[in-house]
Amino acid sequence: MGDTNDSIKPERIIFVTVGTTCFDALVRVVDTPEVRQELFNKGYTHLLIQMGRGSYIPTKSSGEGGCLAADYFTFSSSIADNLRSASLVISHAGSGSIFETLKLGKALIVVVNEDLMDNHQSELAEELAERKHLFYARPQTLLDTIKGMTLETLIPYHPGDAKPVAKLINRFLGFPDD
Amino acid sequence: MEKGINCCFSAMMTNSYTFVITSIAAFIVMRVLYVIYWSGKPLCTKPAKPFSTLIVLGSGGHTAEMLNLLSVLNTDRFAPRFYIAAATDNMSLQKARLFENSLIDKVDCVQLTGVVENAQFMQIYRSREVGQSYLTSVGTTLIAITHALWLMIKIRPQVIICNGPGTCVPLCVIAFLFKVVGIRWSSTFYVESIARVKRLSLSGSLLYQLRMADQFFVQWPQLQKKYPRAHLVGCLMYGGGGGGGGGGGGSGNGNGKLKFPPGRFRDTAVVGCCGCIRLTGGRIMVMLMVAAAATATATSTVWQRGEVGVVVPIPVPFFVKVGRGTREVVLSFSHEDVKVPTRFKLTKRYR
Repeated sequence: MGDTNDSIKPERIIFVTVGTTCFDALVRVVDTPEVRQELFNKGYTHLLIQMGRGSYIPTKSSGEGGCLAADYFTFSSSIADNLRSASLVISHAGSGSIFETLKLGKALIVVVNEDLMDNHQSELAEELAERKHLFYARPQTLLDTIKGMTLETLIPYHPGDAKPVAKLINRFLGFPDD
Repeated sequence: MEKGINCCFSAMMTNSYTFVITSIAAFIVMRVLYVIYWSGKPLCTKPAKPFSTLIVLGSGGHTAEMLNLLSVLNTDRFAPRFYIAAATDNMSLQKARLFENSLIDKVDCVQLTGVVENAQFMQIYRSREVGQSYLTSVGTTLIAITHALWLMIKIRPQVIICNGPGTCVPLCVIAFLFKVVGIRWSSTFYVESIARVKRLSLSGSLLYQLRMADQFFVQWPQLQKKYPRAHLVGCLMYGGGGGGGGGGGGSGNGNGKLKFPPGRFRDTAVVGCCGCIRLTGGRIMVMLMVAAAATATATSTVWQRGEVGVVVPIPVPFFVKVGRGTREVVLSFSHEDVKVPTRFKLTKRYR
């Protein structure tokens, strides 16, 4: 999990994504100096925020003088590339973002948006966190999560497939197995 | 005397009415029990023909999971396929079209026309919008049922596959009634979404409690413990597929992966893109949704098709911007260090 060859490649990127949602609480918390300093102490060099429909504009930084370089954008044509280049992903709880990140084998912190009314998506994040595929946080607890996390404890996620369902459906209808 | 006969006659009439009503009721109850008894049982006859199949699509993750399932099913056995999505959902049917087109590419081009007829796409009124209260959803569900009845009479599917959206409940209820009345025997398969870990969705629990799904699949062991009649099948998602979001801002081509003729795309922004672009048999299909940046709602969708020389085994999600009247977009993207430059032509417009 994460980049192990940071001695060779000094650039370690944290990618923050909120998908198509508006999740200012997350953008705001990664914008705080405490979180940025903690991430910098952990050896990360760049912070890239995909802020979606939110209205809170995070501060940019060139990263000189012992702090994190930071940049942001609203939406991207290809989040996949950003995920691929990241060492750590901090994401909202959308199942699309979660599985895309896990598939790439990236360290992931899922931050649940507590402002959403029908928040069954937190179930998925909680469960995957219990299985140690990712870290689970709320905007208020993100700093503590970053402080306390050890990426080595994460277990790689093995992608599932739909074959068992197809098999059961085929059997039920009387088709022979493929 | 006459009064006595009348009295006796009316008593007999009442008796026979009661008898008729009781026997009809008894017959219906027996029939319902019979249908329920046989519903969970596998079909005993060997299928001679493919089954006409109804596929109920939901928004976002639901559709991605469904297409994931369809891609491993032998589609020759499930034909013709009828795709139904909510009337407010523009994306899902486009994704399904994309999937069907990728199937065509697997087949020889000679059979092309025949394969197209194997799939039909329909829209249905929703029984419940996301966030709508359960009380008002009763009324909207009734409207949805009427519309669903009309569609179901037209389709009369033998197999129904659904995975969670509210639209599937009326369709499954009608399919059940068709079984009771004897119009059409069908098998209903319900796959609960991966996002449901601890409890079923409203439509899932309805179908489970009413025993309307012949087979009920869940993806998490906690659910299977709670709902013992469900089959545990593990995770359906291989990742990706879901398609994130995009559009609005305009930093889209900041990474230099997408190239457009300059100055044409100022008034448009992409609000979403299909997450399951397929490259099959050396061909690529891309779906684009284009919308005005100010409103950020989909106003038009555009299909694109082109050819590439490299086959990439898994879907590559990306977004492109297209302007009104644009005939051609040049884009290139990378996947696992393979750069695939592609030239697309706009072939068809929807809406």
